[in-house]
Amino acid sequence: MSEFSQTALFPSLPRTARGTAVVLGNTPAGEKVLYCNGTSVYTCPVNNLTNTEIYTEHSHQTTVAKYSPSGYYCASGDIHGNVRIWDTTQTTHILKTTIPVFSGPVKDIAWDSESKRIAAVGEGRERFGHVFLFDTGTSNGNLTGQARAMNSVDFKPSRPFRIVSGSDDNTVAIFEGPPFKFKSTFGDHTKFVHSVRFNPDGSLFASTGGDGTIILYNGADGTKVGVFEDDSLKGVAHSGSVYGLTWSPCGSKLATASADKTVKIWNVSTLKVEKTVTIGSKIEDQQLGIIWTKQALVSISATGFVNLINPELGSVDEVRYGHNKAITALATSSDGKTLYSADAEGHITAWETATGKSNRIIPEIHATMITGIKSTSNGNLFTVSWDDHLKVVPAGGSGVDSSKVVSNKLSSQPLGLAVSADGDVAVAACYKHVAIYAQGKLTEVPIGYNSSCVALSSDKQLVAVGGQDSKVHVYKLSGPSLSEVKTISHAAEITSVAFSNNGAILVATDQSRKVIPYIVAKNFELAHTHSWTFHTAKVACVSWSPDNNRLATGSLDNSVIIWNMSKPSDHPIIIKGAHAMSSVNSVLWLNATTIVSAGQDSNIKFWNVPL
Amino acid sequence: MSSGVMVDPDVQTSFQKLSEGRKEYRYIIFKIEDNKVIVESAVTQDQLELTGDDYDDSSKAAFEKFAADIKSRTNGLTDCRYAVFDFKFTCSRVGAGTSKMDKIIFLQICPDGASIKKKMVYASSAAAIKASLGTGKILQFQVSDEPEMSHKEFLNKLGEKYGDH
Repeated sequence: MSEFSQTALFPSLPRTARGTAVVLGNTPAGEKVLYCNGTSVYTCPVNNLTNTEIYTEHSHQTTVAKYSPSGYYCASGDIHGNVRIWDTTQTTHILKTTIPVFSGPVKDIAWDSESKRIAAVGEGRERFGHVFLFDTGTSNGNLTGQARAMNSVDFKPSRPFRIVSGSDDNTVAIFEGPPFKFKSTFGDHTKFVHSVRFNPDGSLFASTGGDGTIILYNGADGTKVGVFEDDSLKGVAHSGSVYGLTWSPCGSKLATASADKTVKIWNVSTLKVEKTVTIGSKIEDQQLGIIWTKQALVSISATGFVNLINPELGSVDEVRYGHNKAITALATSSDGKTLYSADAEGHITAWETATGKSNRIIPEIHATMITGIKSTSNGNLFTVSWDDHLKVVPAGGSGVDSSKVVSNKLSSQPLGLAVSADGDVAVAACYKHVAIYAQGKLTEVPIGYNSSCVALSSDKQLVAVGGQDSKVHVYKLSGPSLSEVKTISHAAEITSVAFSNNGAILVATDQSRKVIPYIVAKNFELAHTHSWTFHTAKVACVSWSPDNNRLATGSLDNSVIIWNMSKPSDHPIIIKGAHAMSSVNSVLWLNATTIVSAGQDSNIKFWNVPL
Repeated sequence: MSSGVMVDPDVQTSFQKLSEGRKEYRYIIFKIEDNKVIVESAVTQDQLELTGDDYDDSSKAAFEKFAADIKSRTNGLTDCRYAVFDFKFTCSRVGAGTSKMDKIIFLQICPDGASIKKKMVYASSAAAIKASLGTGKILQFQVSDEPEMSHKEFLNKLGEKYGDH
């Protein structure tokens, strides 16, 4: 039996930027959707919330990933113009080839129907597009002819082959081949062309862009067949930019995603709108990407939220919330059923730990990075953020009610938060002082050093503050005042501190990779004489197991380590690459054998570590 | 493109006829009309009616016809144009002896005599046409007066680049 196993994964959302299209891929059977965030590619099942696969081999930010029609390979592009082609059948994802197509971001990739050729377009300095054979990387034509960056590309899925592309020079170009050669451009759009796509049999293709129009062309020669029009709008299809376009698997319908916050489903034979799905009314509800697979219609909001749309009813069946920026803090409700995650942009997501169902806490509580989040036994949520506030969100409804927040201004930046289990006392470690919040009153005690983290013992008697001065300062807490009882020196800046649940042991971690437990009752002498230095970089976070026997630490070195207090000389359990290519920012024990970790990669992972 | 000038699809298709396959055209002159870069004239080898071999005289005769055509179309170099010319020449290289070369040159012709507005439009639209032709396979030159349009001038520049200097 292995020492650990990953039991579930709550995946990151796709990376989004306002005004930039999100290009989605899908598997041939349509049961999974592909998107990118950070340096990773996510293969996300449409009917499972916890089983996403992550490809982490890119060394730069990924932009687009597409499965080959055969299903055996995936091609993914990054911001430096590299296209990696990798095997999809094995979990190791063996690299087939890396092809540098140009020197700039790859914006779209298309495979031909024989899974032999790949066209990649984007914003290179020397060219905007390249078409090549996937196995050798040899050129299979020339995609010049458009004067500015190309945004979208698609292969005609039937012979005679064609490539169509949409560009920032407002044109749609058609190339004949193979080998592919420029045939013509069409200047029907008056703004940037964001998306061009062939229908499933290749008889037609459609283009759309910043001018809100959708144009239908003959698939073989590009003669204009028609223009989609919404009768409620004069001559256009959407009242905002259209970022994504996708054909239904049967080819009789078309779906578009637009900055006017709607997804529209069109009838291809009548060129009229069939369903308008309004996602919301705020800027964050703009729709930046869409794909219609054989199993689902998926659109992406500007927030990164993944909307699963029912094309028959024109309604949103399911929304997947989460994060696409680094997760900085985790907390669980006392019953362990709800997990709260907070990110570097001030968003908080509440997750059902058993199913992976998620919800964003709205209205948002903070505007910037949340550095601490804690849940108490009565269901309240305490948070501190770089907006210099300590906030208490009361329990309400099925979770917390963020419309009734108690807000306390802090006079310097908070870096850590500790809250007693019942929520009576909260202590925030701020840059220049320690803030104590009890009975609705905030008291700030100045400190002569810069703090980095804080812990509170379960009996609410002791406060341990980790300092950037490489010392752990232990205070006795009496009412709203602190008296220092012990100072423990480390070799480098303290990164996290934690009291065991019974208050017997204090553990401190530091930047010099050390994890050191101290016995509280024996004036903080070392709990053992072994050197716990198995991390290879700064230790970022620490958490005690409910039985007080094991410790989990997360580190900048991408790994999570499980230490055993009763066997300090044993080799710990090391989960290497727990969050590949990313720092582990927070770990938490859910129960005696389950830990949750979250990292810079915006993923939340559940690990089973048997006793 | 930053000028809002678009490139006509014909520009790319006729350039393909000059650069690829049977190399039908010898030179092409482009101009901007109605906010669009269009093909003004595309001239084949046969239309030049040359008797000698291009490599022997390093395209001197062909180039002079081309320069004269430009001059007449710009009304004595008082207007701007873009042009591509298939330059065939021989040059000597160390170790390789004399070799026959074939290079496509792109000319941005903005004579001093042209109006400032014209010069501005042609200068700011040059990036668009060069991008759509594909800058990889062409050599770019700017021409602002008649002496710069001379055959000898280009031959020297090409020789510097490809010859044994």
